[in-house]
Amino acid sequence: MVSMSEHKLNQVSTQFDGLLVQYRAVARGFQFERFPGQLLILSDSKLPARKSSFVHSVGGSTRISSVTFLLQKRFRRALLEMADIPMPPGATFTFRSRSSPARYAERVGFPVVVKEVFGENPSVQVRDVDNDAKLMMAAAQIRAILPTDKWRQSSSYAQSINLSSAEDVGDSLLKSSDSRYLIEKQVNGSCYRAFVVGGRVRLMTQSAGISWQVISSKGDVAVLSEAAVAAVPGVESGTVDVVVDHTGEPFVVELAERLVIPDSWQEQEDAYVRLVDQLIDFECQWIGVADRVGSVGGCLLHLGGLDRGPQVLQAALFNVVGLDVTVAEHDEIAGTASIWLAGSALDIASAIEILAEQKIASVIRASPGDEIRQWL
Amino acid sequence: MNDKNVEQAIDLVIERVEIIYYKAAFPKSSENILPPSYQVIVSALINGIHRTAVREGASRNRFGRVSQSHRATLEVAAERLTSSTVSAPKGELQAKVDNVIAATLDAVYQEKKKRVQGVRRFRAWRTNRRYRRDLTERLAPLLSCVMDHAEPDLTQTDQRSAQSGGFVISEGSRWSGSKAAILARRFIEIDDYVSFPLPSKPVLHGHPINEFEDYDDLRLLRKNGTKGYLYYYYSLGFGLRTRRLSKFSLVATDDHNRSMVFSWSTSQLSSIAAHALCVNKEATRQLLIDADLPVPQGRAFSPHAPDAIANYATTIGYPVVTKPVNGSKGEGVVVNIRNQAELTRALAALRRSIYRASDTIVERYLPGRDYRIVVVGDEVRGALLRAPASVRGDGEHSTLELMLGKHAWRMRNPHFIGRSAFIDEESAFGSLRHERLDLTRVPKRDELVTFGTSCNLSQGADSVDVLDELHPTVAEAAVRAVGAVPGLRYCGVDMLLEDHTQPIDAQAAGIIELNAKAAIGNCEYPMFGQSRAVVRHVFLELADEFSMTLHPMTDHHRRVTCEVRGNLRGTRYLHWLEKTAHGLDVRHQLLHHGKRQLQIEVEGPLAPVAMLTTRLIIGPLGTRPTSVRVTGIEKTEATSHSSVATLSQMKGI
Repeated sequence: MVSMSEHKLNQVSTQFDGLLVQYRAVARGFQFERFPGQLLILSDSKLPARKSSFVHSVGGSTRISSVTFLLQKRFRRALLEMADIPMPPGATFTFRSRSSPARYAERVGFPVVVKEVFGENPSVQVRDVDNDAKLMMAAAQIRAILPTDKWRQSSSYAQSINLSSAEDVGDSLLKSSDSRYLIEKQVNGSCYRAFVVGGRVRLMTQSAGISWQVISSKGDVAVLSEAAVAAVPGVESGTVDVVVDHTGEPFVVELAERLVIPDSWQEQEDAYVRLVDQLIDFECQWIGVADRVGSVGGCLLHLGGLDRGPQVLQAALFNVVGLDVTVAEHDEIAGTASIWLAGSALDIASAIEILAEQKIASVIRASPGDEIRQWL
Repeated sequence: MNDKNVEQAIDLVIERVEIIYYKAAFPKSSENILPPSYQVIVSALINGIHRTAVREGASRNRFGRVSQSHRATLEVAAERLTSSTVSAPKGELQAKVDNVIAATLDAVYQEKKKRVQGVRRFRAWRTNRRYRRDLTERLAPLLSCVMDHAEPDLTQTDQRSAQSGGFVISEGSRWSGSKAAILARRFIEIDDYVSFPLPSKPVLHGHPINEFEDYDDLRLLRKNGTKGYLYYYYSLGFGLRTRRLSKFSLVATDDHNRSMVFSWSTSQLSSIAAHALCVNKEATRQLLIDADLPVPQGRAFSPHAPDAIANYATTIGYPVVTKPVNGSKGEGVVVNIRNQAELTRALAALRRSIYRASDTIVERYLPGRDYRIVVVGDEVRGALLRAPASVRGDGEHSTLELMLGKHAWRMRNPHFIGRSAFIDEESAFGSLRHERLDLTRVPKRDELVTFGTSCNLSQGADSVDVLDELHPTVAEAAVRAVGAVPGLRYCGVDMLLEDHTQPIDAQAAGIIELNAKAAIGNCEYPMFGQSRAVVRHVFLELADEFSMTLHPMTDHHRRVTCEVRGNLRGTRYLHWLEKTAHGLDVRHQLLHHGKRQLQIEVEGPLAPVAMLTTRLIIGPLGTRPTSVRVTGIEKTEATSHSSVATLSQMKGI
């Protein structure tokens, strides 16, 4: 498998889950349409009406209202509680509350974790909060984080499901004092991250300091992770973080609708590639798109929404990915072009990522495979 | 008896009381004097002569508006005063009017007492005398208007002006002019308007505006409350148990513990990826083009390409439309741009808006009428014509008065509770400033005066049900449009058509947007035409897709237990609950009452039981319920989703 350096890949995107889905779509010879915001539609050339869509790594089996319930941590806890999923004790408080949060933290016992209530997964959180003063500081820290902050790229669907309206931003650029934060008892122990696809755990990793190591599945954690995903109606896949405490009791501490791919995924590339392939298999089978496996030597792209010339496009792709671009057609007024990219599947996927996310093209239609080149 | 000693009787009839509320305002400094927050207009007939008195009030809460409780007090008094009649000699008129005012104050007091019955705090400090004093202060502008009418002296000049166009007493000084002229000066600041009695019903496309009998109950659910009510109505109707975690979220669970979740207007019918594709209007355009559906010619541009946009607009030909790729609710959309100068202005406005970083779509403008066609699964279940805000002339009232009258009716539609047609955007009623319409002009009988160009209901447009008239080819195109987006199963298809009753290929037509979060409730509560049960079909589709079991839907009595958790503030929530149940005529029984939770049993017809359960998450002021579980007690025979014949029958109802 040909891999780009981690440094170069970071210039392409930090949203590795969507990039990986696209990479595997190219490698497996799917025809697809790509739009900004890591929106991808895979299709079957033999049955063009059958299509399977992804936003990042979230496939068509994940439903719109279900995602809202996952983004809202109080709702997420309620659904898990209804399914008897063990979680650390937790409660929400407004940023205005003074004594109640400290009283609660003392009751459940320090240390606690302070989390954002409404926000993307995995939750923004402050850990190791072990006294009242730190608790107030952690709450202030969480309050200062706004949905518009760019410290990490947000999901392209997050803003559009009222993520921002839950938090009234005043002149001071803080969350409203009426909005809430979550205090959870911090459970210390072994941390596992289970990737669930189609209701089954397909990959399990264990925290090793700042990285995650792929491990063979741990039975009780796997069962619990699958039950956690099943507890949310309209969700079949996702990432579950489980902590097993010193008594051996497991607790679900995070549940995300996306596959939370670590920055260091290339160190264990085969495992993550297999995971994403399983996701694509599940989603395509679910919707009825046939899998087309074929070798990829290049990819034909039809681009729309171009308002810069082909030189800009060629320079952008050459500088980051090092790919040579052959421009077959270009219509300046219509803003369309057809180009041929030759390279590895990951290089091609990275080039498409740059074209879409740097707003060079607003529509990209990709047909991977050397046999396509004859159409030029 | 000497005739000179007999004073002529004066007949005074309070014909109408109107209240105009203005948008929020805040002082910028301590010396900053704010304009009035509301105006009261009292129209009376005095010995056959029409007179109008106008007074202003300045009360504001911390949000810069007249508070809800102040509004409620004003409106109860206004309703009570309407149709009051006084007949007395000139010298006794003032005393008689004082009696009317005293009776009004008493009625308001009794009403307030009834509303807060059982709350000890009210009984403790709100003595009748003190409350009357507070009331008198609170109602001062309204009562002053009535007193103005108790001064019957009119000069010959005054009488002539009264007969010709209305006689206005403003702030104690008497001057000639029309009510419309006064209001026109602050028109763009108007936020809401109420009138007692209601003005005559507006009519559109032959339909009188709809009245909904459950409005008085639904308005207590406040803005967007109908969504929660409709979800509860069908959840309880289909025998599902529910858990509510906020005003905008609901989990409904069947007998086999399979659940469906709702949030705002969204359900599990559509995928999040489908929603993301609909939010990106360029992606939507491309998918519709791929499906051979009519879409206006156009393309997307990055935000910093004004020259390329201008070249493209010239190539496809004016008029054009510009819209942000990721906009919603019609925000940032500029239609009917006729030349390059207008295009430059539209792009400049976009750069000033929150969409400044968004890509822009430029497409040909289609001049057709705007429709919202609601597709659930593979069927069209609702179709609305969305007409720009307008009034129809009656040859008597000014444009402004007709607008206010229409607004008063519109605000009685449950779907528009808390959603004023007087909005801040440059559209709907708010656009008058830009169009320089003469608000004081009296339109001729049946003349249609249209405001702005927006057809978005959130921006003041009117909704007219046209489902039964929809041509089959139009319906088929809407279903195909939804099918073009993978994972989309519930959608509002926005179309421009010349005529919805004609075949789609025989007219200029275009699909302009797919809305995966199409508002729940606008087809149930259209402004004009028949109501459609879209939410019912959402439930049936969900049950079908997620293998859930629904009981047959009936309007029979429901008996449910409700468990409420959260900060219920002692007995305050309980008192409120008793009052609410009493008001809805629903039997209730307290089963358990703890510090942060209570459990009750509720029984009654489906609609009021659903209304009560919907309100439980709101509670009275100062409480914060965080969770409400509702479980049915009686069981009826379940209908399995797998029974296709039964399901089809149910969908056909």
